[in-house]
Amino acid sequence: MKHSDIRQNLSAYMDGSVTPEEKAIIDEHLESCPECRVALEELKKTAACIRELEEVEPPAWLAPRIMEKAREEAETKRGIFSRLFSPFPVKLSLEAAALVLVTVTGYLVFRVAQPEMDLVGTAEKKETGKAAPMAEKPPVPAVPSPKKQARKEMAEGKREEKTVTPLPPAPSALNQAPAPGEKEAPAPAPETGFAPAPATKSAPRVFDFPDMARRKEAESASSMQAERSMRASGMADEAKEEAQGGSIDLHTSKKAKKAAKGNVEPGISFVLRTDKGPSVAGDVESLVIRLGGKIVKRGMSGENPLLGILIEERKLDTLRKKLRSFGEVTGSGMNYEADDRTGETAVTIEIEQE
Amino acid sequence: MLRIKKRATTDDDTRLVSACKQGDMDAFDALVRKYQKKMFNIAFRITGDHDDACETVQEAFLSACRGVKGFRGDSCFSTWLTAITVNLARNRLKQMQGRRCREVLSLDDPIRTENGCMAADPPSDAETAQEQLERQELRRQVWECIGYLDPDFRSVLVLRDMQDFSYEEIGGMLKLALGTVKSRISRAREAIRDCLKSKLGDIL
Repeated sequence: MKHSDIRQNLSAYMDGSVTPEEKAIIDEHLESCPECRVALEELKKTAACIRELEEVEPPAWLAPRIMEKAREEAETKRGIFSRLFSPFPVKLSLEAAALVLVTVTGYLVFRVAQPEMDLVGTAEKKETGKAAPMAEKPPVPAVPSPKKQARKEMAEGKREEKTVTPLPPAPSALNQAPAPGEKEAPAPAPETGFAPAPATKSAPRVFDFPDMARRKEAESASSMQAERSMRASGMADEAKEEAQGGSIDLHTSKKAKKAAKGNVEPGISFVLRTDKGPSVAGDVESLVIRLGGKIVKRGMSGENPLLGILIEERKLDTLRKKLRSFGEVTGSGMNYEADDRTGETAVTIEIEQE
Repeated sequence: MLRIKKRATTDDDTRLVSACKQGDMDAFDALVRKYQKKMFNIAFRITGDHDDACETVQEAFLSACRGVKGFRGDSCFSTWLTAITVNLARNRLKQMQGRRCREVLSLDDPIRTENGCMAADPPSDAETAQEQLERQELRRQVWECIGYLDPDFRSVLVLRDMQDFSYEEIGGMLKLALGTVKSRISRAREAIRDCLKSKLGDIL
C-alpha cells in the first residue's frame, strides 16, 4: 500500500472499518511516517469536533402535528373503506343482491335480443310488409335491447332506399342458429341474408371485385359502393323470381360501377332443390368450409334454410358442381365464369326441400 | 449492558410496529415520540434549516406510517426510519440549494447560527466563561464548515459522526457500495479539517 492509499484509508482505520491485513499494514506505516500520524491525529480531532455539536430539540408542536396528519390520513383511508363495506353485513348482502339482479337482467336481455339479432333481416320484411329491397341492416355488434332494436328496424325500413351503412357483422350473431319457434312472413325472394363485410382494405368486400389497382381507386367510395351493390343484388333476386332475367340488376350494377369507377359484379345466389332432407344444410356448410369459404349467416327464407357465405371466386365453379351432387341447382350467377381475379365473393344458397 | 438495552428497544419497536400494521395509531404515536428527536437532529444537520428539518421529519413519519405494512423487519425500525429521513433531507437540501443558487445573495441575509434559532445554552459550572465562549465558537465554525459540504457528503458525515451508524448501515440506507461510503466519509472529514484549519489556524 502506497503512502497516498494509507492516507485515504486513515479515516476508515480510525473507525475500525478496515480488514485486519489493512490494519497491520497501516500500523506499520504509521510507525515510520510522522506525516500520516499527524494526519490521523487531525482526523480524530475533526471527528471529535463534529461530535461536539449538541443535539437540538425539536419544536414541541412537531409530534402532535405529525400525529394529527397521520390520523387524518388514516381516517380518510378508513373512510373510503367503510363507505364501501360498513356496516359490513347489511352492505354486503345488498351488494350481493344487486349483483344477482344485474346478472339475471343481463341474461334475460341477452336471451330476448338474441333471436332478433339472428333474424334481423326477416324481421325487417315483416315491418315493411312488402318485398323490401334486399339491402339489409347488418347485425349490430353490441347486444341491443329489444325495444331499441325494433325501433331501429322500423326506421331502417323507411329510409332503407336512401341509406344503408355497412357495418362489420357481429361474430356472435353470425354463428347463432335461428330460433325454431320463429315464424316469418312469406318471403317473395331469397334474401341475401347476411351483412356486408366492413369496407376496409383487409376485409373482403361483398359483391365487389375490383382488381388490386382498382381497389385502391375505389377505396373512398367503397362504403357507398357496397351499399349499392347490396341493393343491386336484392333487386336481382326479385327480378329472377319474376323471370325478367336480371335487367334491373344489370342497370343498378351499372350505377354502382359508375359510383365506384370499379368493376362490380352482381351478387350470386344459388337455389338448391333437394330431396335429401334437412341434413343437407349441414352438408352444404361443410362443403363450403372444405372449399375454403366462410359461413357468414344462417337464416331462413320461408321454410327453407338460407346460407350466406363468402367464398373465393375461383372456387365458385367447383361449388356449383358439388352442389349438384345434392340436387338441382338454379339461380342467378349460374353462368358466372370464374376468371383469374382473386378475392372473395358473397353467395347465398337457399335450400328448398322437395 | 448497551447491547441488552438495544435488544429491549428493538423488541419494543417490533411490538409497536406490529400494532401499527394493525392500524393502531397510538402505537404509531409512541414511535413518533420516541424517534422524533433523533430524526429531527439528522434532518436539521443535513438540511441546515430548522423549518426544513420540521417538514422533513413530518414527511418522513407520514411516509413511514403509509409504508409500515411493507416494512418486513429486515433491519431495525429506527434504521429504516433513518433511511427515509436522511434521503428526504438530502433531497430537500438539493432542492433548496438549487433554489438558492438562483437567488442573489444579500449582505443583509441573516447569519447562519448553529440551531437556526437563538437557542439558549445553559452555563455549566465546570467551564469558565472563556472556555464556554471558545467551545461555542468552535461549534459555530464546525457547523459552518459542514454547511459547505455537498448533500451527499454531509449525509454520510451526519450518519457516521453524529449518529454512529456503521459503514455497512450507511451503505444500506443510502444504497451505496461500502467503498463509496468509506471514501465519502474520508473526504468529508478531510474537507471539514481543512475548513477548520483555514478558519481557526492551529487549533487542531
